[in-house]
Amino acid sequence: MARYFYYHVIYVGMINVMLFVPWTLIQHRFNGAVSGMAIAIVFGTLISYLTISFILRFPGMGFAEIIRTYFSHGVTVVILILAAFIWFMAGMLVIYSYSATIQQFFNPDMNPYLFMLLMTLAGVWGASRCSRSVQFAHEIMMLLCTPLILMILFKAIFSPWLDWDAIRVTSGYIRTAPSFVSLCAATFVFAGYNTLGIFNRLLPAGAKIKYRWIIPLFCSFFLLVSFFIPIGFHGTVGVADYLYIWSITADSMIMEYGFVYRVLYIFLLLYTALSLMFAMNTWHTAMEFLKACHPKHKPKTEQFPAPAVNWWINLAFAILTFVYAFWTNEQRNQWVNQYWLITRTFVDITTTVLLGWIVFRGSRKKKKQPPIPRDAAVTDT
Amino acid sequence: MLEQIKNEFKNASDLLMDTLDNGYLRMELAYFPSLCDERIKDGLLVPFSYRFDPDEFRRMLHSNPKYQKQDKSEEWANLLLKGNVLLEIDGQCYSFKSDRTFVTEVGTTQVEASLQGPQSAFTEDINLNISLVRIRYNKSILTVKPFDKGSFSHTSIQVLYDSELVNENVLKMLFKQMENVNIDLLQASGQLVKELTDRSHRLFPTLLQTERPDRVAVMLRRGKIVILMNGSRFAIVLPVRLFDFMHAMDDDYESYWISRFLIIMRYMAVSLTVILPAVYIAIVSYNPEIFRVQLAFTIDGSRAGVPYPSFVEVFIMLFMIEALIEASIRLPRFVGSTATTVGGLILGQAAQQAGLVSSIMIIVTSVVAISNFVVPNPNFSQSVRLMKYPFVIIAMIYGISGVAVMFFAMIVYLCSLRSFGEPYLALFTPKNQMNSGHGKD
Amino acid sequence: MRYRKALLFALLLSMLCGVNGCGFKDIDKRFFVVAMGIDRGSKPSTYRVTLRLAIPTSKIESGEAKTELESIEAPTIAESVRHIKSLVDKELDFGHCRVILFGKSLMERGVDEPLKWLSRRRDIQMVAFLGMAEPNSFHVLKLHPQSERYPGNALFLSFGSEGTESSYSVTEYLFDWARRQSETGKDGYLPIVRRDIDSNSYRVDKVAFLDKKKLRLCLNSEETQLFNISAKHYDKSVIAIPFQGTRVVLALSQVKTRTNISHSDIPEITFHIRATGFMEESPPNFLGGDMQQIQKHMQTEFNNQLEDLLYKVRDAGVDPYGFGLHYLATYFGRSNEWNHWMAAYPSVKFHVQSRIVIAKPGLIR
Repeated sequence: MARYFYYHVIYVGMINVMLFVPWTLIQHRFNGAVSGMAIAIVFGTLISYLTISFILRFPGMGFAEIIRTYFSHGVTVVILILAAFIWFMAGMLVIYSYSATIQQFFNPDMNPYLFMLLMTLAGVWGASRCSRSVQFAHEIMMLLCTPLILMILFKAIFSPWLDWDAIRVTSGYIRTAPSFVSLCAATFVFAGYNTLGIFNRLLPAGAKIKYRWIIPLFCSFFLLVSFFIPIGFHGTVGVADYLYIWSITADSMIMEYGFVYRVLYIFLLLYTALSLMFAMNTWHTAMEFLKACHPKHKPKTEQFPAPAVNWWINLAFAILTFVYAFWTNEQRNQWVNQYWLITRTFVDITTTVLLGWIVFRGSRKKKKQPPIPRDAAVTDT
Repeated sequence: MLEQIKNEFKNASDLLMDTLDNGYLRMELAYFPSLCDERIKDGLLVPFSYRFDPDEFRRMLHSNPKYQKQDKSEEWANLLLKGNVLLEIDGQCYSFKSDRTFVTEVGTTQVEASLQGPQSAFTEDINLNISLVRIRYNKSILTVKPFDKGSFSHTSIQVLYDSELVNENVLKMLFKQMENVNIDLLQASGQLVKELTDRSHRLFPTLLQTERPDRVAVMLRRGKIVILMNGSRFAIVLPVRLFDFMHAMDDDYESYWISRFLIIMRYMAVSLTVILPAVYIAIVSYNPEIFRVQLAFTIDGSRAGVPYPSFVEVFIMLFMIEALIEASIRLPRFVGSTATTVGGLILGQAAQQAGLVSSIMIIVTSVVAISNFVVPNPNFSQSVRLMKYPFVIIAMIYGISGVAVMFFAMIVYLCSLRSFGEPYLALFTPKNQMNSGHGKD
Repeated sequence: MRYRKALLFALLLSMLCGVNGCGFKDIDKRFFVVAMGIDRGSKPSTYRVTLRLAIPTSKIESGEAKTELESIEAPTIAESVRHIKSLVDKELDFGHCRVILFGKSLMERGVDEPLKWLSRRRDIQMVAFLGMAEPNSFHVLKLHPQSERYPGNALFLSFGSEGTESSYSVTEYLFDWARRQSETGKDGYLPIVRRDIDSNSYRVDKVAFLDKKKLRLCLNSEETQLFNISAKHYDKSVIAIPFQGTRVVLALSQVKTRTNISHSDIPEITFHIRATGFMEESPPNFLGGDMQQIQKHMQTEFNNQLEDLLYKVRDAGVDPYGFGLHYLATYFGRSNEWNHWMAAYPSVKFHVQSRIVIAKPGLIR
């Protein structure tokens, strides 16, 4: 069952493109992005290892249930609403950025809100399913997309047009002091472990997450690739001119004997799936957090058909996304993205500290066993 | 006895009622000659008339399993309707089972043909069907549970399962659902499927209907439950997963690589038939730059004379092909081939030459139609047939990116479906689980 | 349930009604631009934009491809493209524009503005082929080659590696050129496209070098091939060296290069090149002759040729090889090193060390 966990780790590693992570890093490439990335690799690995081992001590419990056992109802609700907001923002930002990208490259004449409507509807549809269905759909989409995305990445790495000198010149700037924004941006690539906050409910009791080296290995790979490949394709100077940096990079490759000539289109179609997966997961998590605010809420991972409350919460998310879309523009969106990346890093640290404290408290009061998971949290056996 | 029966069947002129007397014994007799077969002669009339021996006759009444004592008078009518002979001797009522079986031969597969697998199929007679299953699943743990459904048809239903392998939750759920079945005339397994599905508006079948006893045996071995129904050539299997619908029995009989190849090809064909018309619209009307430049010019050239937008063209051709398929199912077999020739060859060719549709569209339509029939299960094939329309509509509005989003939505939909509480589409569910399916592809 | 379905259906219908305005345009209502040429206009600071538009036919035969040429002058490229739209009956679509040519006179003036326009347009492919047209792009695009099977394919095929693979024509993509226009220590190059003398095909056998502003140097076709071998590792080319009265021709099968730059005041560039190939033209009785001697002779000759080329390029003040960037990469340099390199580049020294390996003598002795 641990494989579901790694799907989350890997796709969050890949979605960074849509959250302006490479763009942020590239803007700081001469003043602290490279060193920030180096620190982020160590820091991200550490924080993910810690959080995983903390959460695994509460088999079958989501983040909401864990904090509920140690905090009063009011504190729990505050924490959960904050967490839900951060999660919801993630999906919203990706949907907005992706709709903008699609509008640029596929349907330039289309009303921008029309495509966003489709994306939000698909997001609502996906997120309002029960946790188990989300997990199944996630796996299938992952297995369909990842090989092709890796193919594009490797095609880029082995392309003769990739300028290794430019990459080397940029990596020489590791000697500059790390910049804070790029550190936060780079840490995001490691954030996939966070989904354990909900999907831990589905892990059977006593499940171990083996092969944890996958996290540093894959996430560092994605981080380095999404930063250095655009530099290799567009030069140390030219790279900063582009807004949709990865779409342009994908457009710089061709498949001479492929059915589709320009890699750009495959890339965009794959990222449709990836963005929707991301929106589905983040909104589902945010929804579960909000549902857990109710004092008598019992987490259910298997519900068919989906209850109406799922629909309403997600519809609210969709409306908020539209409100954001009306308010924002390219500059504001980048600004929001950067601050979201920074806030998210702090929230991550807080979560880890919080969980660590709960574990610490729990181990001191050894007589009091941590409560057994509620029977409603049926594990995936 | 006769008085009471006469009261109940007032207008049934085909009911035969008589009082026989062979000098020693008086017997009241009632049965429907149309529902009973010749066994009544050897089983009852001969021993009663010219080979009569009072002791032997009484011994026969008590020991022959075909004779049952019937004390409850309210069941008499039902027994008569099921093809029993009712007789009363010395105030004691007996029934003699002599129902006529129309089908005595095993059928041949008609909708799920197999190249080299067994060719026998279920028949419309439930006893023969059970024997077909028993022959293949020759174990004492095979449980058969009878039901009687349909307030007017009184169709007999048998639920079969392997009592060691079956998932108790599913069984409980099924029995609960069986109680809710409320139907007047139960004549086809499809009706039962509809009643057993908890939500009526489903795009994909979540219960498998099959006419192949070998498939039923394989499913029983996997711990699934099989429902057989009198008067239907199809058994219902549950719970099932999407992979079961895409599985042809030949896959189990072919060698490993060939069956893998066939399975992969089948999935590719399904995705092709679902998205190809939509992709055609998207390419032609929104993003002609996606495919190679040669293809764009070829489509452009062939579409030069077509007077209306691409989606109208697609709808015309899809309508034509759907009508053709429907016609070839309904038409008598010897006219069917004419319809295909007229529709497929002449109409297609003429439509293209008249400039109504582009020649690329003709190719798209035929690929769609052919790929659709690759699906081994007819129910699933119908669902796939329907699925291409949402894609076409979304492609009309959004182009190729809409198709990608729709594909995602479809996967989510399939994953959220449940067949009796078991996931419908999920990969790599553990093998040790009772109800795990087979396909991993 | 019923009213929900009805609502959903109504929603769908209302969405369908909104379709018409949203970029729905059938393929037969589009005019595909297959090649684009940008020239200097007749008045100062105007551009002359030439578009070659494809007229698709259902018949595909050599020489049957039909195209239309539209050309108009305007102060900016965007304006001239808009103006051309008024000359044609269908919507222009740049999605399949695979070739972009700049006129020579435009190159001499500078191509900053066209580049900006090209990078900004979302529908211009970053993998479009670039070239410099001589004398101007209108003249080149007017040509209608006999072998063209579908509109514009003769030009696509001359550039890419799908069709002919000639060692005289270099390939340049838009993204690479855009990068070279801004990169420190690396300058752009463009293949030169001309009409063939008999006017039935294109001729792409020369290369032009630019610095960040404008055209600086054009090479002849021999030098172009040498550039192609040394800078692009083009291995489907030949090295021809005079030897004892005949010419020895080595067809290459593999080229590897490596550059070392010393970290001295005046950097010295050592250019290692290893070329493996087989003989296509050789003196008779090649195997009996002294193979080592031939190899050695070829190496010294090749060294001289390449060194001459490198000095020529250096003296023109351009750096298409990217020595400057390599220098920065080797020593992880920043702006100080870059300033040092800029000052030193006009006087850098080149050493070419070639290793030519005759792997096979061909099919005969």
